[in-house]
Amino acid sequence: MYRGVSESGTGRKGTVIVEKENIPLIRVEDLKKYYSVKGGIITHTTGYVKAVDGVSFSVMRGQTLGLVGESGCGKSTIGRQLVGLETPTEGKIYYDGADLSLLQKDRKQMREVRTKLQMIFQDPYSSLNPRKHIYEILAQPMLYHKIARKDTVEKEILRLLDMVGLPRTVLGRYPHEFSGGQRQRIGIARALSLNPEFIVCDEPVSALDVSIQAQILNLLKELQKELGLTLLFVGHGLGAVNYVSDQIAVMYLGKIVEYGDAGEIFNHPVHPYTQALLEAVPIPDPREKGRERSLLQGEIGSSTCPPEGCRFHPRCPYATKQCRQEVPEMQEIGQTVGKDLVKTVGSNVVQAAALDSSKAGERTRTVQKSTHLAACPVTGFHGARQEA
Amino acid sequence: MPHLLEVQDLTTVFAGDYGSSVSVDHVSFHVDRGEVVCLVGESGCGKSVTSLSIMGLLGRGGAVTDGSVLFENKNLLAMSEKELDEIRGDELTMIFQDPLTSLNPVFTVGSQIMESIRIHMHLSKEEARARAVELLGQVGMPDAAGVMKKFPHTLSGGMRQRVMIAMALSCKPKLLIADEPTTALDVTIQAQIMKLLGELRREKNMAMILITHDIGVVANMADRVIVMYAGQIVEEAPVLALFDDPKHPYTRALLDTVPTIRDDASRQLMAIPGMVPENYDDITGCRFADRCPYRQQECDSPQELYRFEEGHAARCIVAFRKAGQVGREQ
Repeated sequence: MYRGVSESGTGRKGTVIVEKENIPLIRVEDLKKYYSVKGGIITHTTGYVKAVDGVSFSVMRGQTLGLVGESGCGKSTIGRQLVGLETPTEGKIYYDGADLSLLQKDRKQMREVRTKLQMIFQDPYSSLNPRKHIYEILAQPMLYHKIARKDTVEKEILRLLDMVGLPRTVLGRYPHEFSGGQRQRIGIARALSLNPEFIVCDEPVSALDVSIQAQILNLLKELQKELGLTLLFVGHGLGAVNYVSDQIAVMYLGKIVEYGDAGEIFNHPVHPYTQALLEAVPIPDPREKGRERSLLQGEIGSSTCPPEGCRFHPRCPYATKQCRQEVPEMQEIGQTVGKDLVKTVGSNVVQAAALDSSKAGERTRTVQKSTHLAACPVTGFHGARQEA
Repeated sequence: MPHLLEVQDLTTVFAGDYGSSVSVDHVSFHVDRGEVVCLVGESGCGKSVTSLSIMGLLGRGGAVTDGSVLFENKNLLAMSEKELDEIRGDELTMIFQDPLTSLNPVFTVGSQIMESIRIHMHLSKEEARARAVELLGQVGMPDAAGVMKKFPHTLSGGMRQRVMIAMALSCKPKLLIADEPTTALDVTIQAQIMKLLGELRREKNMAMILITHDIGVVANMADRVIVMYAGQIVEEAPVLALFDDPKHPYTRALLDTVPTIRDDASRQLMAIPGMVPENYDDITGCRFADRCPYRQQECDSPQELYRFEEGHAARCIVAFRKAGQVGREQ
């Protein structure tokens, strides 16, 4: 289905992730977002928070990309940039092949594109205007964007309410009269009201109760199938992300460290951070209670002055000298990695993986159908070996 | 041997503008020495109010109207505030979900830990300081001496929760109540804190009431589990029995609605339809009946906790009858 980077070779820094015969709906190239930090006696910029620092990925039509990582890793910032709530410091966002920054210069065109890119927020209460009842909340965007006329708007609203599973009697009620799950349904209805193609879901279920979470996740999946939506699902609940996503991108301190099909990432994580992240998730099975888990030490670093080299190296159990100096590139996991590794890190790798070079043949893994990339030369090799 | 904590028929009522509402309805359970009991349920089910009632921290509007809380055979509810203060923070302590709001922003971390040590253990300032540094070391705080001088806002969420745990442990508690201690934290930090709590519990033979809605945490930490729904206990069981053979339809649904990282793409999540009833005092029958797929006529009459096996009880007549039919009635 996909071709790897090596074949298509379009990446500026070799980090473009997926290429397909037709154009991806959303393509992000080397995206950066820096926030300046002010300080000093006469206020001036003393540094930058590098919230997103060179991220590239693409999302194919009808697919869901799950973006995971700890708080402060920049995952929400990416979502906000994609729908135009933040402007990138650097880098490009392409919607259906068109550069968003160029579109922004043409107001009329931008207005149209905006309807296609929508967002569902984490806290449905603070994202709904408390002074407006549901009719207004849903009607106003549709009237403004001329999706519906005054005489047809009510019909549209009722259609939306049916779609998200709310009773038709709620039209005159205000946001505070609803429970969390219902409010999130309103948030979803609002996002759907403009017939979008792409929706950023920014932790849409983390504020909800467990039994309601499943309802909302199922609703999102159904709607996606029905309307052919493309989703970016930002979340730190890994179980939920696994449930909805086709592909997963794992972020750490503003960079994507691993990317691949959901099944691949969750079953064969390669990057040490991904491995640690999955290891930290408690498994709902009391029989695994005594299982010794190797837990990450320390905490996520600061994005004002991220560590040199690989940003994960201060917490990484496999860190080598090279990791402390060089920023690792995303590499395809599979046959090539094993060979590259021997060339690039040599003895360090052998140490880290407790391997000797005579077993080199065993490290290779059959080339997969789809792309699986990780920004770690050390365990890229380690993981490949485990598979063999 | 008597239980460390025995809660009997605890009933807590909150007075509101439109009359009072029962938040915790005749809840009875016990905790033994060194045991971890998990209280599970959704927001508004009364699990936090139960713990606040035990600690005597209900505040305005809330009042315990019935029942008793026996801690080492002494009824906490009958004690004066002064007597309670002797026990609270000493043998019986609590940590909360959000460590930032439970720490005083204008005092250093060190002075807050030292305060309770000095009150309960009657130590001098220097001795208390040494003990505080030792405690911070025990909870895995790097640079414990340096952290003593810091203010809460300068610490990260995980570090703040470690400070809270250090405070809770300062006087060798026999029972620690942890109210969603990791909900606000990232998953890798959550794992660190849970591991720490597990170790401390083993080392100090400390009992724990762990309030959570994370089924994964329950499976990892609990000896026994109590499931609450709409102010009542609906099921109580040892952890293995609960996961292997949940009796109450709500418990079963709760276990089925959780997506995990081990699911493959084909899994379809079972969602519980509807939502938690808001005014559940008025419901005479089973409070879960409206959302329950196994609803029968007798569900409309009041439900009691039926004993299934030793230590396993559930508030469901349908499940009880079914178990009886296969010959397990006792």
